Amino acid sequence: MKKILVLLLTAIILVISTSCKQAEPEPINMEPKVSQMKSICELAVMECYYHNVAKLKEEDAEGILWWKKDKHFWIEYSGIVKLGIDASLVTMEVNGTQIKITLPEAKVLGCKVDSTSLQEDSYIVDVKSATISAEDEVKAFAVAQQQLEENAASNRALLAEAQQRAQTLLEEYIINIGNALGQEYSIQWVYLDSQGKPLSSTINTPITENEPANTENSSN
Amino acid sequence: MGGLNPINTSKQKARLFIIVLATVLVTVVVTSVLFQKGHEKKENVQIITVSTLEKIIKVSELSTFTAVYNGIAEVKNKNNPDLTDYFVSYEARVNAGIDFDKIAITVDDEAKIIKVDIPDAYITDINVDISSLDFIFYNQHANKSTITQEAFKACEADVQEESEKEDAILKLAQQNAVNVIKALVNPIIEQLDANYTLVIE
Repeated sequence: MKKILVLLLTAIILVISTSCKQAEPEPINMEPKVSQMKSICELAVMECYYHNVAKLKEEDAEGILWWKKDKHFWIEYSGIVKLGIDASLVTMEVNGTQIKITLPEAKVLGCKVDSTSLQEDSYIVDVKSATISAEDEVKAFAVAQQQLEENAASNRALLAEAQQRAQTLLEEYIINIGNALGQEYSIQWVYLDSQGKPLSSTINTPITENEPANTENSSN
Repeated sequence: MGGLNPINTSKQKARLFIIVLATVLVTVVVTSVLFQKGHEKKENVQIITVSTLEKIIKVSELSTFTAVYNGIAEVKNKNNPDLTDYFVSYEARVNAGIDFDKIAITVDDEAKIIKVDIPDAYITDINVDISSLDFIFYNQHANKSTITQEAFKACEADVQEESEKEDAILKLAQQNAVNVIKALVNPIIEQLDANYTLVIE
């Protein structure tokens, strides 16, 4: 009888002690992935509203000898420009907690003039201008389309903003992975030119949840 | 004699004691198993929480988006507002964005849905480049030395009015904000628990 009691009590103690043991959390299987970085770069593409003025001037368009007139008019139009980085050029090398990421320059990925933005009051014609024909207006639309792309491609501030957006999102991705794993990563950024050749590199060390990253620059 | 046999009584007591003890044991086992299951479930869902997502999303430098507004302002004659003195073209940048502090996040662990409500976008800043002004005069008398200051004010008023009227600026800022939130959250939930779905409204 006593033996049975002792056995039962032992069993109870064993059950209680095992049930009270904290369930160990499963190790998190996370790591920075290139495929996810490419998806981030695609989402980092900035769709930029672009309102622009095309200025057209054609000298001696009308008249004879010294009685000549220029064609001079402006057109206001709107469009959308897509700016971002070529995700296929983004690469990553992970060496422990050191990560090397190559980041290409941002470029114009697409642009489209909104044809409905060209209305009668979009044309501002100089009072001294020669007569503007319908043909001139059609030509002006083609010029607007071409100018929109050229204007966006030469806007260094906007392109730098697009590249910075991609870089910040990638950096946040690495920080968030590091936070989940309880690790501190340092990132070496290698910037590529439009031909895909390295321009310069920056090292950010270390990255923590609440501290800004320290940055070191070096140019090639 | 009607008296109880002491051996039978002690056997009955022992049986009763064993039954009670067995019941207690079963209760303890069942309770502990249920407790452990509940505890394990809690461990899994603790990873994706509102506070974790808030930390991931609230990246202030990603809250604004630039629009380019190169426009034309019309300046009327002060004495006769039916007449135009001149048109002035200008180059401006319009920043639109959302207030990241007003983003509301809810996590439905049963349905495995993360819902992010983002506020409406608004114009945060307008900047006209004074060196970009160019003119077409309808009234040559208006071409005076003080014209730049007057024209600049007209340009600022024009870009403010036109950009507030232009829905596309705010719509694109909203769409860009949605993409930024997807880029910040999706890679993390894919790795932590791919069963969760991100819904942005």
